[in-house]
Amino acid sequence: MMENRTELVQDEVSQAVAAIKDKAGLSVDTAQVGKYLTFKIADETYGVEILKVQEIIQLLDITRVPKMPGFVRGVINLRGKVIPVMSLRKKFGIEDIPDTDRTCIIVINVPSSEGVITMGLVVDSVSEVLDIGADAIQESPSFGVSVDTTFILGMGKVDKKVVILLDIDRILSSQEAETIVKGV
Amino acid sequence: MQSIVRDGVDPKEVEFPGDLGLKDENAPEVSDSDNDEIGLPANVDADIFSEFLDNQAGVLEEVEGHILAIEKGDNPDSISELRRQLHTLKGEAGVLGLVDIVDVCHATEDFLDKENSPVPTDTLFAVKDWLALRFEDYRSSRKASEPVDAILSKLSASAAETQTQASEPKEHNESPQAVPFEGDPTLLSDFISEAKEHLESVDVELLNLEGDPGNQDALNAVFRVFHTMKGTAGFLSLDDIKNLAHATETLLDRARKEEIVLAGDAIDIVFDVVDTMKRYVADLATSLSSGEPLVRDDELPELILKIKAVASGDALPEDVPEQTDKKIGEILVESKAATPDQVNEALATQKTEASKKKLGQVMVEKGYTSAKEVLGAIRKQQAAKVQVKDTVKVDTSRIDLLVDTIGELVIAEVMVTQDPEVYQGTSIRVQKNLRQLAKVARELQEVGMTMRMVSLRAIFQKMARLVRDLAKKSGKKINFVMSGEDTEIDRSVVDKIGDPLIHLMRNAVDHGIESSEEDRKKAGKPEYGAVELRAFHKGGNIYIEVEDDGGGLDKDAILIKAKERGLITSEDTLSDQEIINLILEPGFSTAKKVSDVSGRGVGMDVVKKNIEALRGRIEVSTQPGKGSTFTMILPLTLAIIDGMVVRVGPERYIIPTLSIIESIAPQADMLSMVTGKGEMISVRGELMPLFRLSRLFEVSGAKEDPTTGLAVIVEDGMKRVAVLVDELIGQQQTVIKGLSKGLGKTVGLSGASIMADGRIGLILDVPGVIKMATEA
Repeated sequence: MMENRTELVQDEVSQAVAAIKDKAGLSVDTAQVGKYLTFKIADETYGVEILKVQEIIQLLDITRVPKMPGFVRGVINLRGKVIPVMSLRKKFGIEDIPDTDRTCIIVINVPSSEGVITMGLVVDSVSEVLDIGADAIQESPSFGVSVDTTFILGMGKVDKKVVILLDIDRILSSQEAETIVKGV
Repeated sequence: MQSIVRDGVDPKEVEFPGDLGLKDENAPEVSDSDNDEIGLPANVDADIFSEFLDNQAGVLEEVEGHILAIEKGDNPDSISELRRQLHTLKGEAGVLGLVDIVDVCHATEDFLDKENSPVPTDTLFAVKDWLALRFEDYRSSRKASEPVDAILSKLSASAAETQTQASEPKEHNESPQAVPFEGDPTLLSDFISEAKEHLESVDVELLNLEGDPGNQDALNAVFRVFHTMKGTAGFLSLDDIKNLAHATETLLDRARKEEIVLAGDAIDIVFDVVDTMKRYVADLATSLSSGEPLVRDDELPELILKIKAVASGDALPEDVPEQTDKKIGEILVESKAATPDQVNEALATQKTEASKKKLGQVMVEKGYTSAKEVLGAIRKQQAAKVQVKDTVKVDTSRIDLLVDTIGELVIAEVMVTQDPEVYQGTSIRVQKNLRQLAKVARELQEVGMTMRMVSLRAIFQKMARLVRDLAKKSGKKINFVMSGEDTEIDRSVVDKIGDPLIHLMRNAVDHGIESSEEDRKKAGKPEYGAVELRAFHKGGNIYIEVEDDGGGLDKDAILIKAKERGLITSEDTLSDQEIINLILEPGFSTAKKVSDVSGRGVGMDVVKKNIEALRGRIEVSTQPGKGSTFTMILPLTLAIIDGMVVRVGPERYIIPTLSIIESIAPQADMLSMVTGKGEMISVRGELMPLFRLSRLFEVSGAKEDPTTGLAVIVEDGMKRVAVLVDELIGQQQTVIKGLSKGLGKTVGLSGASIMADGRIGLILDVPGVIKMATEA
């Protein structure tokens, strides 16, 4: 887990931020300063690094894959490529709702041991792209949020709104571990 | 100028350290101008010659590139590169007897040796142009368009001129040719891949030679390979290979001069050399990729000594009939213009009459054939001499990309042409055009597939060698026959059938063929055991069969062993085929590795696993006392699967057609519940378990009553099970897409495929499903 955390510290900016936070007695597990794509699940706003996002598509026909954990909705045909799609609602343990017109899939590219993996995340709706500066990022609180904090990089504060910045890489790696356990 | 070069490292010594002064022994330095008249030198295999000519277009292109780089002066390696190329060319031309090309290359090499900058690139271009022209001449078998002397004198004139120019002392010692090459990974990896190819081809030629020690074509081919290897290895400072190749070359040269006969010990030692080199090249590849230093082979000096001993040994020159190109008689017989008897008779007449008449003439005089047929045969004979096929080397990843993209195109095309909306209110013209589009897309798909296809020849040749070695080791007399080696199969499949095939060949030789000749004689079989390797197409699949005429599989022994291993219980009643198939079961053999002493059936589960990974299957048939046949049935390609689309509730799945035996509509009286074993179905008296796909995959909304559904009977080795689905939608060829990336481990599925409507169908992994069902 520590390796994953340190991997995230990629450039000088984040290293500087980490140094500052280190001095302040905070952990180096930190969100990067930059542009985030924000989206909504239930009433919360979440953000993923824009660099990891390939595109946003409307909800397509999803083919269920049997014997997969509940949060894996299945696979879709993205212009001839078969990519897995998962529901962030289920992943976060939030009650499932029927798909709406605004439900869409965020296609992300995440590095992994098998190379770059393209996958889709089903979210309630996509909001906007936000610039989040170093001063707007705070450590994730250890309580008071209805979601599992393991996947949270930090909290961004923009115009009094709070954006939960997600650690997409970790969401994937934990999913891999889970399916392997189930597969045995 | 001279002193500067000599102060540096002598370039010749960099190329051939420790050369015993024997270089160029096959590249005569005498400038013989009557070679201008020779189109195709005698004793040269037409295929090799045409391949040589073929390669030259690329070589000349590179040569030109290097000359241009030299002119620009930005790459100090260019001169060395150019010299390397010319040297290789010299070597190859030498073997082929193209004396004028050897001379020009040699002179140019000398010319380059003498030069520091500036190099007169005009002269080099003139050499390149001359070479291009000369190759054209050779290709069309005509005289040299420009005499060799002209270019040679141009070279020497230019050398003299620059020498005076360059006589002023230079400040820095610039001798790029002195740069050692051992550090260049690109050159080394080129060498490794070339060497592998070369060594494979040597194996074949050696096998030919073993059967026919006088085969000059084969001998020349082997010689050429060793010469090339020597040249390149010397250039890359791979002294071990160079010395080994050199010694072997000397041995082969004596054989070429018919001073010794390449048979018995002599040919064995050449086989040894090939093996040593293969090992060395493999080590080299490992050390290149791992960065570890190369471990020197201690056996090398010993081997070289052995070669020298064999080479110096004076064997009596045997009277071997000279074998050149195909004889007119053979061609006539092949084209069915005459019978072998007629040809033999004509040959006899030709001899007794001691006339200077040609065979064709005799044949016509005797009325066996028409003059037209003979003319045709002569033409054929000449045509066979130079047959230049133009080929392009393409990166395999590009071909993969092309095939992938074609797959996408076909899917997109199906989505358009099968969309009902397209046909609503469209004119006949549009429909006609759409059909045309569909046809072209299919054709394109086929072309794409053939691009990935490679022939089985290389792997079959490896097996020929393997059988030879195994037979020698076990002291058995074996007659190995192979057929269908030109059958083409997907490149990725070829890479993966090597290991299973080795297992099968080993089994056939080690355990299939009886260990003693007496046993064979008693059984009324010929002294030589027959092992046959066949490949052929059947029903859209590739069949590769290994057959032996040995003792066959011992059913009783298999049964006893299977019971010992707990694979079956004493109560199980098995059919003969089921018993034989037990050898394919994991756990049948306890040996983890294949060894020469282990019993039959070793590693057969590994073979089965490997073949299944290729979505193929294996069949075993045996007749006690008569031998056994192992048949691998493989799909033509891994990129496309022939599948049956089935529906379960709202979901669709694809079952590979290869694993389907049949599908039946179950009747109520066929079904039964067996306590502890679940549902069973009896198909024509055979009882097998029935699994509901809807339950295995937790599909909701599927039919509950089996009699309204359909039972698809699938097979995995000895296990046959029925899988209950709702209905059969149809058969379809689909492009396979991987599934596992990002999904973790999938159960019972081997991949996904995009269906005609653009949605995804999941492909069932039959062995996985059976495992899932039986273990659940």
